[in-house]
Amino acid sequence: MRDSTLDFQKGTLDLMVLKTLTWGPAHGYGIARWIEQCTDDALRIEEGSLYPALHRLEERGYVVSEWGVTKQNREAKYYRLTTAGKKQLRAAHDQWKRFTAALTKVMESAPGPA
Amino acid sequence: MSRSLRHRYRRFFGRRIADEIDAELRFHVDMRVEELIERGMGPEEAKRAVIARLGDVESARRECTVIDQRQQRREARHDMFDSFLHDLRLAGRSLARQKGWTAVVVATLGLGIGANSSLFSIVNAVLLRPLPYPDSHRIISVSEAYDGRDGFVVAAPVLAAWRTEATSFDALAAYSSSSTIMQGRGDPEIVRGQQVTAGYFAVMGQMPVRGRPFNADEEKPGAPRVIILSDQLWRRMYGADSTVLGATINLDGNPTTVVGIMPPSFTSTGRAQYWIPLRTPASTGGATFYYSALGRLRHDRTIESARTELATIQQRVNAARATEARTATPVVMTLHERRYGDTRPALLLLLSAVGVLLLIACANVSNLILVRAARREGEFAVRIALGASRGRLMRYLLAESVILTTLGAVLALLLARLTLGSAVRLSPQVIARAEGIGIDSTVIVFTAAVAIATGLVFALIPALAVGRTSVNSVLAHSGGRSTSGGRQHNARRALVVAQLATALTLVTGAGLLAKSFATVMSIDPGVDVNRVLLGTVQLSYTRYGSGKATPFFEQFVERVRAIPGVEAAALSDALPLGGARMSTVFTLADGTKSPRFDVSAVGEEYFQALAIPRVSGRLFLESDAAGAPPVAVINQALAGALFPNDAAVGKQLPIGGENEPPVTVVGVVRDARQRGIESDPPLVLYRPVRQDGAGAYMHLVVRTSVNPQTVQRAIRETMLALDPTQPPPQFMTPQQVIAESVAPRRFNFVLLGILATVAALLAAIGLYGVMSYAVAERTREFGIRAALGADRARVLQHVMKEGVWLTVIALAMGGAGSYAAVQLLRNMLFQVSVHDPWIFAAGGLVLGTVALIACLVPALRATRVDPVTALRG
Repeated sequence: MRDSTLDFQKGTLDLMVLKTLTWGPAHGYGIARWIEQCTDDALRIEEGSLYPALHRLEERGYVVSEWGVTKQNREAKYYRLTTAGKKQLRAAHDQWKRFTAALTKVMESAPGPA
Repeated sequence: MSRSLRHRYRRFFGRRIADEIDAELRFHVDMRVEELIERGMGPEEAKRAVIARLGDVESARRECTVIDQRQQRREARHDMFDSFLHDLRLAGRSLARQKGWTAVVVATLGLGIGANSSLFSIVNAVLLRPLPYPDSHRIISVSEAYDGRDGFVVAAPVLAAWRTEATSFDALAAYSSSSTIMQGRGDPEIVRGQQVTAGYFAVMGQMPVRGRPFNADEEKPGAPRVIILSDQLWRRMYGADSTVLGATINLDGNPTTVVGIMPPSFTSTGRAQYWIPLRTPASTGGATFYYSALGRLRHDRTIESARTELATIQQRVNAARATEARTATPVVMTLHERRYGDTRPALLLLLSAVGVLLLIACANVSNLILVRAARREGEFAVRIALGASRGRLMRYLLAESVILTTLGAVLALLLARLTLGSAVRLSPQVIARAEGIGIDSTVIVFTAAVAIATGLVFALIPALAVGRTSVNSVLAHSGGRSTSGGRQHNARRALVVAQLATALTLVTGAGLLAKSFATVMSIDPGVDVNRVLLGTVQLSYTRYGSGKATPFFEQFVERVRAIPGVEAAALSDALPLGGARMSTVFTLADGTKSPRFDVSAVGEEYFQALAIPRVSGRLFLESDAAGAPPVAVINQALAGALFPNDAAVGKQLPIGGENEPPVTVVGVVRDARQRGIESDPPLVLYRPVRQDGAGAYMHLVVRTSVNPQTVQRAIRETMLALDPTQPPPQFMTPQQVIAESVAPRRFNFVLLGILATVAALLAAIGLYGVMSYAVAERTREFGIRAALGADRARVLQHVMKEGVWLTVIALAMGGAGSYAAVQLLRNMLFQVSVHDPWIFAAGGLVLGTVALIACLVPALRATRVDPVTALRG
């Protein structure tokens, strides 16, 4: 799907990932599972775009990564939120709130003068 | 752990990017598969489901790879930058600890690079930069050559034929110089301009920014007078008043309409301030008029093809010309070449000279760097032992070199900025008039390039030296030999001797020129220069030409004499000490020709004003006027030439030829240097202005009892009171006239003087470098001597021996070289022998002293060696 809905999705994906990481460092799989659980499986992330998103967030300095070991003794790459990432999360969240408020106004508007 | 540290750690010990990404994705897949298996799917089915759901794994992997690689590259760059900054800081501290050494190196670089920057600025403005006109390389200057010699002008008939028939040019215009009297808001002034044909502005590629250019009709004789002003003239004289455009102004009595004003950026050949149409006369009555010509080459033609075409046309016209002109050929070159072509050889020679100077400076600096490197051998050995790679050390030395060359380049630009102003003022006119000589972006770029090149050279030399050092050999004999001693050291010694000898030659040459200059300046000009004011008056030819000036000037001089503070005032048709004047010969009674002598028309008080004493007879009186018997006063030289055994007074001289009555000599005066301070006094015959008549262009000579500047204003006002439409006199002092006439001599002297000074300084620095190196090498030895109680004076003596020896050899070689080389200066000297012993001695003394001081510093350092530190090595 090559249209603006993809960018829209990218933006919301970043937002969700950042938010998820506020609960502590996690690996990619953990992030995906958490979001599924949080939304009762209503939101399924496009897994093919999760990892590029994580790497891009790291490039921009919002997260840092570190290889660690899971409870099952597997090697996994953990991501952690940085101070810049926290700031970005706040900013993106505010932007999202404003956007949905506006959208709501439009969708629930009554027919008015043309 | 900081981010950069972590990444550096990862790069050294972590996995490659691709492996990492694979591992990450594989983990995800495995976890998903496990999840599905837990839910009850079979392993194979689970795997397929997960992969299906994952979607395009490949593109995800590729995207991640791209992002990670980009990140890695950026970090590598930051690392390099960080470590270089670190090196710079270390190098800076190390250099700051040895301020003396650093100062010497920076000074050397500043001198070497600065000389190049200055000269490059001149070369850039004169040779490299195109003229400030659109497509200036297409503006072509054409002229005729007779017998292969360029006449700089074209004869009218040839030019006319070229203009009508030649197809190589978009436009071909003729021009000629012009001057007139204009009056704006201030006093009337003489203004210089050009007469041009209508196509001139098309050729230059610039049209008036206000108004219009001339049209072809305005060239015809009898057409209404029009003029185009330059922007500077419009602003200066008319205050940029826009109503001047279209108005009629008074041009030396002729009403002329202003039809155009040129843009501010336009400067024409000859610094013209106005342009009027060139009117070729309808009939020339047999005389040939000559003009300068410029053309704009058509875009599809070359200079060569234009020359061929012009030659063809010219040959046809030549057939009808006088014999000398029949073989005339066209000379075709760009305007840039015409203006600056002559300066090219001299400038390029100078450029190579300062290039050599820079190489010498570089050689000295690398010497000094090796000296320093020799002293730090121990430090480098330790670093290598601790694991520093050669690359690392080279980067560190590069950092040092960067700091040194940057400081040197900054100093160079400062020096260039300071000296360019005076350099241009002293230069020959052609260069002094070039636009834009200064430190602009091109010069800065050039300086930076030179600095970078020299910096690289410096970084290489010690780095190579360090590279060859093996740790073991250094630790084994610490403080001993370093970089292949003997042969290299001799080469350095030879270079220093060569530098000193060259410097001596230059210093001797400069000394000779200096003495000549001093001699010239001390010549008694024959006139008392302190209380004399010289003025030039140029009246309008229309009003005061053809003898109409005489009554005006008679009144003027009378009034000037009445000004308080004026002791004597007189006219002269030529400037005393100035130069050219009319000269003539006449036929003697026995049929032979007299010697050639100058003829000058002067007022009665002339001799009194210039304090030229009377030797015999009398001087001019008011009664020697028109109608009275023609008289003359001659100088001693002429009297001696014409009447060696007789009194000259009373003799008659037929200077006017057969048709004029002979003049009677009524007096003889002492010789004065009329033609310029360096030439011998010419033979002069003076005639009274009242009899000869005054022209529209005369000089005023005034003797004052007070400071001459104070009467200038009164004289100006006197003249304006007499005729307010005429420009007041331009004043100058005899000192100014003399200074102008010796300007070329002064320029040569200053130029050679600067070269000599720089060469001497560089040679001294070179000697200092070699001596320092020798001392540094033998630090241990000096330590031992000091520990054994050696007398400081003897250590000093010991070290100085080498320096003195080198200096003596250099002085001997330099002396011999000077002896031969000064022959080149023979034509430039004035009353100074080419082998003047005093100058040679003085040169040797100066250079010897400088060299000895250069040796003394390292020698003193040798005496102060602390035996403990030296022996520790």
